[in-house]
Amino acid sequence: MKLTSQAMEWIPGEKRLKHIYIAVMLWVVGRALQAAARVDREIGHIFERMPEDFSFCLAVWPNGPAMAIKRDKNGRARQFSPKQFDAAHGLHMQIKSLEVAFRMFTFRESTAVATCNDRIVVAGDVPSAMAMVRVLDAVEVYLLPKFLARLAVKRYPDWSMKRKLTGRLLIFLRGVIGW
Amino acid sequence: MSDQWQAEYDFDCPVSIHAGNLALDHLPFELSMVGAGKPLILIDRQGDGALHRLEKQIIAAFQSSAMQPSLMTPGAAGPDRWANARQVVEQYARIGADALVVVGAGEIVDQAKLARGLLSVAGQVDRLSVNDLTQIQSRPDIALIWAAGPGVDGREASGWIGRPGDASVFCQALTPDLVIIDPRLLDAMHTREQLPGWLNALVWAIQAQAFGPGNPFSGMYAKTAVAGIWPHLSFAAGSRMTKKTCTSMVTAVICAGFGLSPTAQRPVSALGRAVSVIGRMAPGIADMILLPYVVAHDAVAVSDRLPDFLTAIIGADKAALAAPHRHGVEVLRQLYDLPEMLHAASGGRFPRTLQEAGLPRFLFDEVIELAMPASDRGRLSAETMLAALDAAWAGKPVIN
Repeated sequence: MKLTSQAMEWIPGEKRLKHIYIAVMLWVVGRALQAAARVDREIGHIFERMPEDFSFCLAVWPNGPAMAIKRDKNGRARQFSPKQFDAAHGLHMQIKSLEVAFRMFTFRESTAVATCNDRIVVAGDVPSAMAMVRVLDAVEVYLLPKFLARLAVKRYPDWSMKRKLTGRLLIFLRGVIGW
Repeated sequence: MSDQWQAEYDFDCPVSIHAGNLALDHLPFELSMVGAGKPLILIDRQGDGALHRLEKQIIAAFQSSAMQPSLMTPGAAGPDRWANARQVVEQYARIGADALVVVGAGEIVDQAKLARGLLSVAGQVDRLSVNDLTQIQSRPDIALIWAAGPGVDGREASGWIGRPGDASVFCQALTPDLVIIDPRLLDAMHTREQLPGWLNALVWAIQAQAFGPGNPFSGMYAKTAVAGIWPHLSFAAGSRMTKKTCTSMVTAVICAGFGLSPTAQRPVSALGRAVSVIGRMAPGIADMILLPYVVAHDAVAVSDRLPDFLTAIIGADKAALAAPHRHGVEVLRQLYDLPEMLHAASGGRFPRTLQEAGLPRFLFDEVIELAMPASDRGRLSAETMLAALDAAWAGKPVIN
């Protein structure tokens, strides 16, 4: 584009590869979150204590990839289509740009640091948002090897090997079959 | 904090400042927060390479943002700020933009402020004057966002010193709504182009302490700024700065802004800006050359305020060796030596005196005339200004 003293309108392009990568990562995290709520007692308790109509959406602003999860009648986590998410009633967590999301999901910036850098915007109940960040951190610990998970979470938890290995195996299995 | 300090530090800043790595990527989101979807982006007219790099950074920031931005580089009318601002207003209306984003520093920011002011008042743009701008009572609806590398204009109100025949303005309408400071923008600028910005901040911090109300809170920021900028200046002048150094300098510049905020009297900036306008040089360079010559005329500043900076400038070990009653004079001596050091580090590019900077002596009257209304509530008389200009032109230090 040749810049002149006349205003030049342009249509910004898309970052397709990054979009696809984040979409896949969010889908995997959503699937794993649903499984983790059944496998891990702590995560399950967090969902049970949530309000009955609780729903959560993690998305990239403005209309980037998204992941949505809700609490069903039995207090269990269930992934659903982000298109059905009602932003007026649920907890909506938005990452300010695709580039920032890419930085987070390539583990160059943890959720805590991203929050400090004002990269995440939350609309909804703040305690629920904090609980969901704890859940996401726990899911990352289950999904990722320790050297990567340490970059993604604020503090790597001191879990027993049994909890980590059996939990990881069950979450992967449930994640694959979607239950 | 005591009541006295609170009274001296009544800080109400309506500007949001987003600083840090990737802050530029927040720009589209922040625009949406002010209801804008079609911003007009003004980019500084720099060297072709720098312009290309700035443009690439901006284009990348707007990718996947679902916005319809427009880019332009005002300044086709040359140094006439009003003509350039009117051109921006005309383009703003032509494309139906809803926000102004200015990328860069210095003259382009002043043009954008003026354009925003012109867009905010009713009437024919061609007929509006400075007086119309000062009538604006509330914050304008049109968002003004400033994306910069090193600088920050986060005060409660902004303004500029007009060119000859042009009055000075200081009002809220000229203050940006949001300032985004991303060190990556510095990558697009040559270190030599950043140096005036660093010097400007250094002068802010020193004059804040020398002429300010002596507030410990803002003084802490001023000292942090000096300690953060001073050691890196020789590297900056020699174009040997790393990205990490640039990032720490950005933090120091923000501290300088906070340090200056409660200071109503800014005689160095007032005179320096007039010199830069008349002599057509970067404000930071004019300010730096003038700083010791203006400070030297204020005995209180030298004896009571400057000593606080000695540790920040030469380090605690060396400061301990100097006699306490000579600390102020030692700081002044360092300030006099700084242009010489920058001159050597830059391979002779940095001017040590106003003469080397190309300001002819016969223009001193014009400089004083321009600086007088803004010389900050009578801090400097015309005689003092002339004496400071004479000494700074010839490079003759005034040390008692």
